[in-house]
Amino acid sequence: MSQAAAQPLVALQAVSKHYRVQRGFLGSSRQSLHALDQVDLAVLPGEVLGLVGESGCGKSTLGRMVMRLEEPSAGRVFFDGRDLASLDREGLRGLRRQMQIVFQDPVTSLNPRLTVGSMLAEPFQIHRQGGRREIKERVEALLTEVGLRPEHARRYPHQFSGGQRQRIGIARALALRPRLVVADEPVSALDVSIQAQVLNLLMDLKEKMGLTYLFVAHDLSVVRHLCDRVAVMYLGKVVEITPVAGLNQARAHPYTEALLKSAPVADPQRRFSAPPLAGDVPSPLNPPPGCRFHTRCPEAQEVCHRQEPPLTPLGPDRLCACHFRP
Amino acid sequence: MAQAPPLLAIDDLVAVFDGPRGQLRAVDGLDLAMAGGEILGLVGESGCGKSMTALSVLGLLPPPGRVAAGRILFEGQDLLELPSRRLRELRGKAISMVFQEPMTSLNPVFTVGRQVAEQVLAHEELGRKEAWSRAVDMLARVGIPDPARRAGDFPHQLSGGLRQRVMIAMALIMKPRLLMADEPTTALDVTIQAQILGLMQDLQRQSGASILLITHNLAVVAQMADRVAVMYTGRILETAPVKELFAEPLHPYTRGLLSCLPARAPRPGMRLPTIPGIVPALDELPPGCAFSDRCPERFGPCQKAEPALREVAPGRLVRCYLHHHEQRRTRRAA
Repeated sequence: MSQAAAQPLVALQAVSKHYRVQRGFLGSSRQSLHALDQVDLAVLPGEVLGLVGESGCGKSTLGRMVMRLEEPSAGRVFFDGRDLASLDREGLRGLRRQMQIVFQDPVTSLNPRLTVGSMLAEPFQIHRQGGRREIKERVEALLTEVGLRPEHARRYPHQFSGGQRQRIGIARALALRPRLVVADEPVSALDVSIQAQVLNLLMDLKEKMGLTYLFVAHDLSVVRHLCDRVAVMYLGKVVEITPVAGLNQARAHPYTEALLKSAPVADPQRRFSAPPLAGDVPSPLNPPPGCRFHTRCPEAQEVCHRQEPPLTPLGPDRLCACHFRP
Repeated sequence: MAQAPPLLAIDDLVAVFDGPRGQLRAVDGLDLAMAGGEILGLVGESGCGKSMTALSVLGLLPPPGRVAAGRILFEGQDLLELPSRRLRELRGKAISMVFQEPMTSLNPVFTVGRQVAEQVLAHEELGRKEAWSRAVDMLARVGIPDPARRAGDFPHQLSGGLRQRVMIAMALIMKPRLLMADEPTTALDVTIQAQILGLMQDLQRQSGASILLITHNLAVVAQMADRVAVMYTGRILETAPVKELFAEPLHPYTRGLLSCLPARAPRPGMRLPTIPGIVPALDELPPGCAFSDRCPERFGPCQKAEPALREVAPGRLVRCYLHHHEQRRTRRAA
């Protein structure tokens, strides 16, 4: 099946998100923070699309936008061909069943005063699915599905370890059998051995339920392992979209190359030499003109200061926003 | 064998926390030695006691934590026997530390230049002006652009990466012989992490200081360390030169940790090997070897008595009966 032919499950068209920020004495100066700027992106059914980049690049905002937890300032978000902005409350609620989110921090994203059972029952109650007994059975089945035990339903979040809490977060997301799961750094707060368990669970559940993942992450080794395609973001822009295998090919976007070279490798025979990038990510309050990466780019030329490069095809299934690629 | 005495030698260290449910042994019989000029990676999962080990060395265990037994020899003298005034002299001068979160370890109401200068003033009879200019020099050495101006900034005016550079400047300005860095790059983005790790390597090479690099990140250890010590429930399970550890881990826990890294999976998308179960609570350790309840290779003696940390090859220490000759024989016979 050609990927290009598939209708995307999620499509973002020229989506921007600007936040107003007040600074100075009593908010005397107003500025706008460009969290996302003119982003086009499609998530295909059944794929795992990784979203990578450093803090402030807009990857989490993008995930929340897809969930409609944030409204875009401009542009449109489509789910299964339907424009989210065109839906009323009821329509949105119906759609919400089909998309769910798993958060990074399993401690703060679970209500400490609810038992796991009542927490997992909520989605069924809200969407009026089944009576009390039926819901109880479904909660127990759900717990088993994510590798916990039915009797765990009576416990509170603090009685679980970090990995188990993330399983609860995953169970809650999967309760209503969504088609899309936005996973926002789901394993970054976990220890290595627990991380592997949760990654396996996510892969198993995807297989079993035919899920599509938008996987927000900063750890490239996790992304490489799990994802089919990757979108690399920098300062509110998508700078490259590539199949994961493309990450290993030469001539990626200079920022992608720098990310790859910066990531330490768990192999003492392959040590990195000099850090590939100097300086910090510029403030999204005042992004540089032209290509946003030009202030740190080792290959920047004069044109990069003036002109913003558009995302352009680089091979059949690859897009890259750089004046010097290919 | 005429060998230089180690810079740091920790013998059978026990650090405990007395709580309502009884005593928890956060560090439980830890042995660790560091030579001058080496980078030792201390790795383990959260709660294994790696930070408590470093805080014990500094005499800074948070109450009610205390060192209950053991010796911490620094250049031959036992830090635990030192009067607190002498320990304070060593701290920040001969031994210093960099913490994970530079925002909470810097004082928000003083400029960063002043905080670096304070380190000098605490240990040397110097004028404020001189201390300030030494601070500015040090900020330049850790790669802070425009250091004379930046020295006048408050911590919140700096990015996370620059704040961590300030922490490193504070830690290194007195030219310590031992730097303990506790997850120094965990809160940083990957391109900034690469910068900070590169900086630490450069400064280490120039100064010849030893670094105890505490981290949960095995990739960071692979990049930085000369030797690695793997910690679990307050003990060292294995110590080895870095290349040997990654090429041939001996302890089943080390093997498990390495094999569950996605980067080491034979092919993408495959199920990752996992270590069954979770790290046990410190008051619920299994009998015998602390890892025995999760160990896929457990056999006869493992739950009877805890194995010792023993040298099984030059430079390689492991706390596991699989590698102790007499037990291995009984296992084969069984």
